[in-house]
Parts: sequence; C-alpha cells; structure tokens
Amino acid sequence: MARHSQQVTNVAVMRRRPVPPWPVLVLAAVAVAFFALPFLGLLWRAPWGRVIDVLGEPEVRTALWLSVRTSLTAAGLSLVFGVPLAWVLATVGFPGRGVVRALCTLSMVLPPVVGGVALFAALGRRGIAGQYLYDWFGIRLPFTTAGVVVAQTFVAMPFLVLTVEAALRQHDSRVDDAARTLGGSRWYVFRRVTLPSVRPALVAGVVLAWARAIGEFGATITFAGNFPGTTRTMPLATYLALETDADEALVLSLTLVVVSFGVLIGLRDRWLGGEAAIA
Amino acid sequence: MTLEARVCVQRGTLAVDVELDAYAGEIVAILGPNGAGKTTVLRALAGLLSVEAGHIRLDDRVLDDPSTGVFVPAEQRSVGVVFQDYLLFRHMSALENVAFGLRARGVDKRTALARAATWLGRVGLADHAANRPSALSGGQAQRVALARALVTDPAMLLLDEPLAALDAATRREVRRDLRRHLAAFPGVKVLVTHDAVDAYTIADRIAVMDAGHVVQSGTIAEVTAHPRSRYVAELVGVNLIAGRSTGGVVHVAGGGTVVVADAPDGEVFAAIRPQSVSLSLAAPVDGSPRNSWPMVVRDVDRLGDRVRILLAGAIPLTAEITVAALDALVLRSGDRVHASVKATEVEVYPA
Repeated sequence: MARHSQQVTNVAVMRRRPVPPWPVLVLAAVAVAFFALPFLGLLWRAPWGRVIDVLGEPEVRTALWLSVRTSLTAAGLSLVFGVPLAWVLATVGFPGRGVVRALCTLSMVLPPVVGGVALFAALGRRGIAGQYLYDWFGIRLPFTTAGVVVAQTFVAMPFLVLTVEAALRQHDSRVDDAARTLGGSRWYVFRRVTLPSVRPALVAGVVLAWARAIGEFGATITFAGNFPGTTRTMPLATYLALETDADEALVLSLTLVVVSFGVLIGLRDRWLGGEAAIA
Repeated sequence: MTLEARVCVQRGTLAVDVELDAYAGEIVAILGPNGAGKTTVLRALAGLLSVEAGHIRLDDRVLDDPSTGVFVPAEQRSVGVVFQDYLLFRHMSALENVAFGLRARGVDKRTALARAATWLGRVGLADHAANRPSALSGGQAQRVALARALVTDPAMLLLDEPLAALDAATRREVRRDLRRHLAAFPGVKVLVTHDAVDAYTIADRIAVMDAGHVVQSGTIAEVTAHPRSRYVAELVGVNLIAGRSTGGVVHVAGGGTVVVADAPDGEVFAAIRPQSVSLSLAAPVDGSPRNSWPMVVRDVDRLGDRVRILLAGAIPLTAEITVAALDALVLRSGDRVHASVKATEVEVYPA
C-alpha cells in the first residue's frame, strides 16, 4: 500500500514539475538542432540511387564486416579485462590507486594518433614488449587485424571501466555481505549478486566501448595501417572514399549511422527494459 | 548448541568489548541505542569482520580467535542473518532469494527451489513466490529474509533490528509472527534492537549495551526489576503487566483491568511506556483514554527535564512526565492521583 501511494505521489510530482525558463528551452533546442542537422545533411545528400551499388562492392562489404568483427571483439575484450579492473578500482584500497586509474583511462583523453604511436613503441617489431612477442612467439601485431583490435580496445576499454566502476561504488556492499552469510564465495557473490545489480551500467559500458571501437580511426591507422581486407575498417574506408568518390563516403557514413543506431536501439529494448538511460 | 563469545573491536573512536553467551533455543537480545556497537558485535558473530581480541566459539567449533590465528569467514560459518532493511536481492524473485543459500552451497537448482518453496509456505508467502522484493510489503520482506536465513539450517540465527523498518501499524502483527517463527528454530538466536519493547516481546534474556560495553545482562525480569544504573532503568523502564486477556480486556492477577486495542485471548503481557501514562489530580470524566486508575505516588525521580513517577495501585506503574507538568500537578510522595492510558498505547503480546 505504502509503495503504491509512493508511486502515485511521484506521478503527481512529475505532472506538477515546472517548465524550465525559456532561455534554457532555446539553448536546448539549439543543441538538439546541432545533433540532428548532420544526420539530416547525410540523409539529404545521400545518393539514394547508388546505395545498393556501393554496398554491393566487395571492398565495402569487406570493410563493413571487418569493422563489425573487430569492434565486437574489442568490446568483448574490454568486458573481460575491464570488469575485473573496475572491480579492483572500486573495492580495493591500495596506495597509488588514483595513479593507476588515471593511467588506465589516459587513452580516453589522449589524441588517438598519439595512442597509436605509443602502441607502436610498445608492441611494434622493435617495441618494448613487441620484440619479445615476435622473437619468442612469432606474434606480430602492427599492420594486422589483431592490431586493429588492440588499437580499438586501447581506446575503448576506459569507457567501460569508468562506467562500471562508478556503479560498483554505488552498489550497497551490505547486500554482498548478506549473500556471503548465505554461503556464497566472493566469486559466486560477485557473479550472482554484484554484477546483476550493476547490469544497466555494464550494458551501458559495453555499448560505449563498442561505439568507441567501431568509430576508431587515429590509433588504428597509426598502429595497424590501412590495408584492404585486414586493417581497413569502415572509418578508414570512409575517409579514403571521400578523396575519390564523395557519394561512396556518404553511403558508408550512412551505413555506420544505421548500424550504430540499430545496435543502440536493440540493446536498449532487450537489456535496459527500454527505460533506463544509456549513461 | 551454545555460543560463547568475547568480541573486542575498535570502530573509529568506539572501543567495543562485549562478552556474550547464548544457549540453543533461547533468544538473547542486545539492547542499546544507535551507535552503541550492537551491529558491530553482530557482524563479528556473522564473520563479516574479525575480532581484534577475544574469541567466538559455536558448539566447541572455534570461529574466530586471533590468539591462534583462526578465522572462519562468513561464507563458511553456519550462521543465518536477517539484516536491517532485510537486504533482499532485488533482481531475484522471493523464491530465488530464499533458494540463494542452497544454490551457493552447491544444491542443484530443482532441489533448492523445492526446499525454498517449502520455506516460503512455512512463513505464509507461498502465493508471493514469483514476486520481486519491490512488490512485497515490509512484513512480507522480513519473512522472506527470515526464510532465506533459515533455509540452510544454520546453527545460529542473528537478527539486526528486524522490526525497525516497519511502520507502527504492522509492527505488532509482524512481531507476533516473528516470535512464532523464532520459536520453531532450535539453534542459538541473537537479536539486536534499540527498542525495549521488541526486546521484551521477543527475547528471553537481554544484554544492555552502551558505548561499546554490556552494562547489564540477565533475564528480562531480572533486568527490569533491578536496573543497576539510571541508564538501564531509562532504557528498559517499560511497564510490564502480566494478565489474562479476554475480548480486548486484560485481567491482571492482583485485580484490575487494562483495556487494550486488539489482543489475542489467553495469557498475555501488556507493555506500557512510561511516556504513555498521563496523570491528573481528578478522575477524567469523559476523555478518550479507556484506562484510568486511581494511584498513590510512591516516588518522584527527576532525570534532567523529565520526571519518572512511581505509582502504587492495583496495577503498579511508572509514569514519565515533564518538569513543567510536575510543577503544574505539584506531586509529592503519598499524593493521590489518576493515571490514564489510551488503549492503543498498550502493547499486548502472548506470554
């Protein structure tokens, strides 16, 4: 009963919520226009008659498929390594935690080209770790598809780490205590209680990381190069097309917009219950 | 089954040092104000924090003893806990909540859910198995929390303020249910509460805690009859009246009756807070209080801006009034006075 009346009250409060003053509304409208106009421009300029032709080109399909594969792999790797990192940053108090957090999220604020150069210095044939990767295991990352994934993961993972860490900090650790008194090991409690309670943030983090990965350009072209079939992802192909065939660039851009938008909507409906915000 | 514990923990500026023993079947209440260290003791017993000195033994099994380096973490102890606010898992149904402890201990899903369903039935919530905690009332959530803690058959059950989250109207009913469910559990039971009435109505023995220490412990009759400090007297100073209830009236053994709001028939205790007793020089003619007894003032005891007045009569009572009210009434030992109490202010529970 109490819960019910609470909801009723909330609805009433929402109805009575005052409208923001008009300067706020005007500025907000400008912001909406700022975001909407580029997409309208794309739609307006798109050579609709050539869409089928362009998408039928083998190079385009290869680039699209490569982008989908690498960005999903990068999002997966961000999840596998980012969640444990977020867990440690959120729950373990160790000296220098702030430094570690800054280090692990530096690539987010770094110009991506700089990230690519740094990756080269680390994982290139003569890099600090890359030389051993090659000498001992014969693994070569630069200018390979694996290199694309590395570059994308490098710039994408911080988005997931920060999102999930914030949610883990807000999580009521007493609920985990309750689960432990019921016989749950730390790992079991994390899997069955902690993670589900931060699921919206987890989904948001994966989406953000994936979005950053599929749009990755600077670090990819610097570290992995621009080879058709192995490292030329959609953003690279789009940029290249702009110099030779503007229509093709428009179609490729439109395709990226549609794919990104589709994934966002799909995730929202399936995992966020259509209501939770993606942030 | 017995619990034998000495918990010494430093929490910020509060030094907790508490000795606590409990036998199987009995309910021991740790009673004290917020910040006394009650929850700290409970967390140590649960294995959520380790004692810095002392020991915790349950059935001769050492759970925690810094001197020998033994510490059994919470997940390996056979201890069920009902937490304050219940802390149910919000993403699980009531049934899955109850099954959690079994699943965590490796019981297969089908068996776990079946046993959980049995327990939900036992606490009267079979119809709510599929509900999420957000769809449960406070009393229902408490029963789910209780079933969840008991489903794994723990040797000891700990309850942290199990009634604090409830509003006054449901509290009485939930308290009665809780007593019944606790009576069916044979292990060691420790209850933490800041409310003397909760302690009286549920526990067999109480340990009164203040500033990290137990200031007095014993059976409820002992502690209420002989509070050894002003602090204990104030905390436990609830009028407790034994009698036989029929149709909303409690007949006290020494003569006299107490009209109550709703009560089970049979042998009961009626608890009246001293603050609920109002005094007047003349008998109230047509006021709302259903109870009014002529009394004789035995003692007047000032505690700061409040005054406790011991009253003798068919039903001996302690009343607590303000200094201003005392000044208006000008009461002295031996004076005649009328004590009245509203029926709704009387807490009744089965003896």
